[in-house]
Amino acid sequence: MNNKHIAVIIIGLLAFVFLQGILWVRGERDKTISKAQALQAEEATQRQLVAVQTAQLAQLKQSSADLISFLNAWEAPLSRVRTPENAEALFITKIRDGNLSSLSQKFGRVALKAGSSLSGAVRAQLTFEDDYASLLNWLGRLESELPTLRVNSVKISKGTRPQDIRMEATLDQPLYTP
Amino acid sequence: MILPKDIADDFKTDRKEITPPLPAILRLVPILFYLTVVSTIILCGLFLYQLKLANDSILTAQSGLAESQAQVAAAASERKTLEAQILRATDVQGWVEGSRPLQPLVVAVTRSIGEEASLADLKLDRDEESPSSLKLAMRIGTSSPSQLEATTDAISRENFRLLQPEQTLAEGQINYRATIVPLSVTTPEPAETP
Repeated sequence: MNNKHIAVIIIGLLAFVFLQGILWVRGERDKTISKAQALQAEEATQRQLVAVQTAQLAQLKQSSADLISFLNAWEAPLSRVRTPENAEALFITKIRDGNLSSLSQKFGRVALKAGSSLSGAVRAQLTFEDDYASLLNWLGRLESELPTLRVNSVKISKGTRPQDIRMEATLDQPLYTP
Repeated sequence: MILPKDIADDFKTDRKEITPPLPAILRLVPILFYLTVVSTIILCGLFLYQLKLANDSILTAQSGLAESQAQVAAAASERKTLEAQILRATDVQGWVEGSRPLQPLVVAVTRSIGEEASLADLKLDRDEESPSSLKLAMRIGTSSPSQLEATTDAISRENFRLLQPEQTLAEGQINYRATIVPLSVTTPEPAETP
């Protein structure tokens, strides 16, 4: 092998290296283009997902607008009673304000349906014996002033005195934490 | 003519060894080499330009993807909050609808009792599963069916419907039981609390 052969080999090797360089750059370009296309496809899917979710959310908002405005309207009266102590104090105040002849008062905590967002309720079991007008007016005022109060049961029967009636009422006041 | 060695020097150097020429086909090698160099410059330039464009596309797509993912997360979060609110609102609505005042009903029943009859007792219990429904039990001291009719009419005027009524008459007293359900479906409004 003489120097001419060596020169040809070197030039050939250089040409081969350049060709490999071209191929490597082309390969990198192809890989990057593939990656870009995959990302663009993913982005398009994600955009579709955004459009679907936004539409679903708007639909849900629209369909629940009445319910949410109902909640907003009732949150203020419900939020006034958050703890059992609040509820008991409220009951005691209303009973005292009614100036009724009370035979018994019993307060206790009751659980509501499982999964309810209301944290529970305070139950008052009350027995009164007074005249018809005082008792029923008091009950009416109570239901009007405490719109979230639930009269769970009411029993009216004759009282021990002829002009009196006996009223046994079970009242539930929900506890609400906004 | 032969010169004697001592008269003139021989300036001609010895001829070096000449390598034999390469085959003609190998003359293409330098041409191919130049072509390769030119191709490398052109193609690499083109490919690098395309690579740059692809990288720009990746950056744009990544940015768009991140934005979309943020929007999806925001929408999911908003939906979760809304669903929690709906659940809460449903519970509140259930409670409120099952808390309609009973006093007007009690008053209507007691006022319906005529002078010749008496209300021995009246009991209203809310149904545990459906609190807007009430279980009515009452004993009226009368044997007149018209009194019971007047009382049930009074209940109907309060927008309630009587279901599964049961009545027994014994010793001048009517025992009456029924389930009453509200007719109106109007949404209650909260009253101002003093």
